[in-house]
Parts: sequence; structure tokens; C-alpha cells
Amino acid sequence: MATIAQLKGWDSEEVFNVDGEILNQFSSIKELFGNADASNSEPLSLPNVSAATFQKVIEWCKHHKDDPSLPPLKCNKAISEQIKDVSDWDREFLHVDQKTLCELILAAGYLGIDGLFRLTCKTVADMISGTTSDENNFQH
Amino acid sequence: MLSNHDECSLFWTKVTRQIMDDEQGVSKHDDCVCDWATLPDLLLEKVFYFLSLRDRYHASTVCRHWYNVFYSPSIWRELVMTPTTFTHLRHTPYKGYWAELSLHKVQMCLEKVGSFLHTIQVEPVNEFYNLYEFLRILNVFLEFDQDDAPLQSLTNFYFTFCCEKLRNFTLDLYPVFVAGMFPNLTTLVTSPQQLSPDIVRILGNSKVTNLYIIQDQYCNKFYFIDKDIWKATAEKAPDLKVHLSARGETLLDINWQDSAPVTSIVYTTKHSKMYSVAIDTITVLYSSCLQVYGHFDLPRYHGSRSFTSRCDSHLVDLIKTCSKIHTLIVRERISTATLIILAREGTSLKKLFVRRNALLKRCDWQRMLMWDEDYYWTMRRCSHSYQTTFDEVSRCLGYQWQPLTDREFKRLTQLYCNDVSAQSDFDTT
Repeated sequence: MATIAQLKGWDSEEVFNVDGEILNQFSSIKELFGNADASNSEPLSLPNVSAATFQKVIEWCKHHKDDPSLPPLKCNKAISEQIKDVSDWDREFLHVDQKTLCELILAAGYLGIDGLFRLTCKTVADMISGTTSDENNFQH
Repeated sequence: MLSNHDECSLFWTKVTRQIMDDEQGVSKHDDCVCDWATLPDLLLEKVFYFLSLRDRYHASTVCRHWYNVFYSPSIWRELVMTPTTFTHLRHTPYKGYWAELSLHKVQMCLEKVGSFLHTIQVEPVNEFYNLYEFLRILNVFLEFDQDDAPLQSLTNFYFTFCCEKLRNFTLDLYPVFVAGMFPNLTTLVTSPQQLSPDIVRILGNSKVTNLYIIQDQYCNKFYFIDKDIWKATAEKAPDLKVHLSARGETLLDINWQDSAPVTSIVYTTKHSKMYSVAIDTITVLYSSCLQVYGHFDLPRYHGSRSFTSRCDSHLVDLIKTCSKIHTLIVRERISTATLIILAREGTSLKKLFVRRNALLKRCDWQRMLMWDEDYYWTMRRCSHSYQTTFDEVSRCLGYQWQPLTDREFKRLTQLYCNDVSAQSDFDTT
């Protein structure tokens, strides 16, 4: 599919060409582009997504582009109970240090990628759950 | 509720502010733009939203920022009561360790975040006490809260299960009023000290078809329920069946409910004898509907062999008067002659359980006026041998009948006592 959006991270000039399939997953910014061919215009800088993180996000989106839309979650129940089957690929994907994970969650929330956002939330929730405040402090 | 657009723009302002803060603090924070402490509130709220209450609390103790997020309205829109929500482990001698609802926790939660709640959802709870206490606190909170409108944003209250069976026992007189709160309840198991006249009235308007009243050594106070109340209830709810039972170490007899539609009376006690007075009372009170009568478990007392101190004649009276009895369980000594009379007189009798060890091979009945020659002499002849007795009983019941050994009798007891549902199967089959 043709490139319809050009995006770049805040920390580098590297430009990512994003096609429609992936752009559709960015629910919060996809309307910005509409149907216009954006290939000629200035690349849009994402204010709080670094290039490295964006690279990972695109990797995730490519892998998950055929996923069906997700059912709404019930809150308050530990999320780990609701998302039981995390694929091996995802587990490997999220096997990163805390800083990257934090950036991923920020990026997923900002770009409105529901699936990735849930996944990262689950990972964080898993990290928080079962620990006491002292241990959390230590991770801070 | 913010629209999606509003949420986005809010998000934008928050994020930009965050970044500006970060830029100013670059020297302090090295070059780390993002770490847990600076995660925007909005995202943190989402993460919190997915945490269980317990983890939420732990996370809130980490730092002031997270603590503030803990009290943000959006994460408290829904409250789901699971079996372990608001509970703490407690040890009691009769239950071991169990998760008891902590009243303090519920109270604190309602007080602090109650006004944010939009939905309360109650999931299947095994521990009736917890469910009851939760609903009670909710009630009290709604009635006596200082605010003008407690739980003002609450719009939904879900019960995610249709409660069909409810078990509840307490020691003191304590009416189980909640029984009226579950519209789909069909089976209610309770102890007599929870059954007040008002509850019996409520049952008349409910769908409850099986009411088990179970009495044990801890029951010594009872409500008095007038027979008119029972009559009215039985009229309103024609399907209602009352099952009376005594179990455990109790020595008191069952608390008779006058005019109740009692269909089964079962003792599972080792120490209480079969009293002639009790049998006579049953004969008088429940002649129209009684279907099951019996004593389970092997007796731990001496039973007399003499005819006058046994209950044979009363049993025969019972089976003659209560024509609907289909199951009779006798664990006391009876004579072979009585056995034959029971089988002959029980018009709808299908199951007759008698212990082989408690059978006395004798005919100790005097001839009665209503028995003709033939009836009496066949009975006399048959009762002189075990085998002919069994043949005669088999002929009357219509299948090959045998008394039970003590081991089989014990197994029957276990089968019966294990579960209430087995009990109801037992009653019907």
C-alpha cells in the first residue's frame, strides 16, 4: 500500500513512511491525514515518541495488522486475568528494560493503539501487582 | 464524560506541559525523558484502572504522584465485587482460614470514592456472609450518610448471577431477610432460628420451591410461627416443599412447623432415638403431604427388644395415615412381622430401608380386629423365617427386596448427607 503519512520521532530527523494499514491503527492521529496524499508534505514530528520507540511501535503494528478489533475490557479485575493468552512474539517483544517499556506505553497511549496499550498496561500491571510499595520504590 | 476529542486535547496539553517540565529539568534527570514518575496522569489512570483494588492500593503508596492518581474519579467508575474484594484472611476454629469481608475497607471505600462510582457489579460470591454484609453496609451507607446524595452518580447495579441456592446458618435468632431479595431463588437452606414469621410470609411470594430447615446441636432458640401463616404461605405458593431435618449431636427433637407443607423429615443423628411421641406428632400434623421419613446414621445407643418399648405400632400408624410416603428409612429394631405390615400397608411405598442387624425374627403382634384370618396367619407364617419375610416384602413392593448391611446403611447416609442437591435427587427418585 502506498505511503500516506510521514512521521518522525522527536529526537531525530529519521522519517518513517507509514502506510494506510498501519496508520489505521493509530486511532488518535489518523484523522489528521484523512485521504490526502501526504507524501510530499513536511514530515509530522511526534512530540513524545522517540525514533527508537516508534520503530518498535511500527514493528508491533505490522505484526498485528490483521488482528480483529478487541472487545471492551472490564476494569477493576486484574488485567492479567482478562488478557490471558499473550503470544510468544508479544512476550519477546516486550522483553525490554523499564525505560523502553515506559516509552512504549506513552507512545501507545498517545497514538491510540488499543492493542499495544493494553499489552503494555498488562505488563506494567503485572510488574506492580504482587509487589509491595517498597519494591515499587526500588524500581522507581 | 469527556468526548474523545476533549480527551485528546486534554492529553495534548498534559503531555506538552510534561515535556516542558522535563526540558527544564534535563540537567537534574540526566537525559531520561520518560520514567515512571513522570508518566502522564491520564496514562497512569489507565494503568490503575486495570489493576485490582489491592494492587491499586499498593501502587498508591509508592509516591505522592501515584497517590493523587489513586483518587482520580475516572478509575473508580466501576466497582466489581469479586469473592476476594475487600476481604482479609481470618482464622476461625470451625472454618479454618477464610477470606472475611472487612467492614472497615468497604466503609472507607464508599466514603472516599463512593461518589465516583457509576456501576457496582457483584460477581458470584461463595461466602454468603460476605455478600450479606456488603449489601448491608451499602444499605446503611445510603441511609445514614452525611451527604445529601450518597452514591450520586451510581446508575447501574448488577448481580451477575441468578442466585438459585442459598445456604445460611447462624447461631442466634437472626432472620434471613435477604432471601426475599433474590427473585430467582429456588432452594433455601436455613436453620430454624433464622426463620421468622415474616420470612415465611415472604416465601409465599417467592419462587422458592425447596425450603430445607436444618437443625443441629446449636439450635436452641426458635421463632414461633403461627399455623395460619404457614397455611397462607402454602396457599400462595403451592409448589413449596418444606424439608425438616435434624443432624449432628442434637438431642432435641425437630421444631415442628404446624401446618407447613412438610414433605420430608430426616434425622441424621447418632444419639436421638426414634420417639413414639414424635411419630405420633408427625402423623397428626403432616398426614396429607409427607413423602419421606427416616433416620440415618448408625445409632449409638441401646434399643430395647420388647414390643411395647419399640416404635413398631407407631410406625404402622404413620404409614397408614400418611398415604404419600414413598421412602421410609428405619434404623431401629423392628420385627419381621412389622416389616411385612409396613410393606403391605404402605400404598405408595417404593423404598424401604431397614438394617439387617436390627431385624428381630418374631411375630409379636396380637391379632387386630381389622385383619382377617388369612392376613394374620400368612403374616405369622412368613415372619418365622427371614427368607420368607423378604419374599413377602418383595411381593408387596414389586421388586427384589433385601435389607441393608451396616456398611451399606452407612454409605446410604453419606450419599444423603454429602450434598443438598443429592438430597433433593433422593427425594424425587
